[in-house]
Amino acid sequence: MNEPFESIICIVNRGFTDLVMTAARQAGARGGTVISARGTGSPDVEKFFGVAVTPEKEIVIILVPRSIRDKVLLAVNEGAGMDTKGQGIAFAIPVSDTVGLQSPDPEDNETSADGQKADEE
Amino acid sequence: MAKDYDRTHRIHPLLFVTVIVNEGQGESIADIFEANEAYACYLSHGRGTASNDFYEVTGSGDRRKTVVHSIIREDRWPIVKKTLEERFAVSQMAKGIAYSVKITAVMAVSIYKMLSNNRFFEKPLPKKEKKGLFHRGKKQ
Repeated sequence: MNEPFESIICIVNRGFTDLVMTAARQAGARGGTVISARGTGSPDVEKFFGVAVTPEKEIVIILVPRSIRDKVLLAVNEGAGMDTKGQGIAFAIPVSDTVGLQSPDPEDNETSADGQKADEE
Repeated sequence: MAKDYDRTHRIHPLLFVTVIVNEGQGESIADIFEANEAYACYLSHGRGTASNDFYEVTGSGDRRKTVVHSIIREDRWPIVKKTLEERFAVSQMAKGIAYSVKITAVMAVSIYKMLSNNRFFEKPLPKKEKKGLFHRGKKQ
C-alpha cells in the first residue's frame, strides 16, 4: 500500500525553523507550518544545574510526497540537525489520506508507483 | 472484562486528523469534527513558512495559521473529508490542508471508548460473533 504523502515532523530550538525550511526546500519540499512547543528537560540536568530547564521549541510540520521523504530528512539533518544550533530531530509518519493538497507531479507518480524501488534507493 | 473488550465488542479504527487553516477558521473546523462525533479538538496557533513575497502575491498578507488536531472514527473520515473539501473550496481565505494518520494503539479501553465516542451505541457482539477485529485466528 503506497500512500503518496508523508508528514515530516521536525522539533527544533525556537528561532531556528528557517534552517529547517531552507534545507527542506532545497530537497524539494514546498512549505511547512510551525507550531510552538515546550521541551520537557531531563530531570538529571535540572538537578545538576539547580534550575528547571524548559527549553523553548518549535515544531515544523512538512507534508511531502513519499518519493522525496528520505531526501528531505537527510537535508534537514544536515541543515538543522543535532550538530547545528537548531539541534533538531526529525521523523516521518505515513499519512493515510490528505485534503487540499495537489497530487504529486506525474513524474513523481511514476516514481511512487513503484514506491518500493524509490524507498530502496 | 476490559482485557477481552476487543473480543466481545466491535473495534472501530481511529484516525488522528490534523487540519491547518488560516487563523480565524479553526472554530469552523472544530464544528465539523464535533458534528462527526469527535470527542474533542485541540486548536493551536501556527505560522506558515512561505516567503513574504508569496503572501503579497496571493493577497492574503497573513502567515498566521490555526492547527486543529482531532481524533475520529475511521468510518467518519469520508464524510469529514468531503466536508473539508467543500469548506476549502469556499474562498481563498477558507483554504487549508488536512491529513489523517491511523492510530495503532491506545493505552486503555476507557480511553478508546472516550476517543471513539461510542458510549451511546456500544453493544456487545452476539455470542456467535465473539471474534474481535484483532483476533489472530486462534480457535476459541
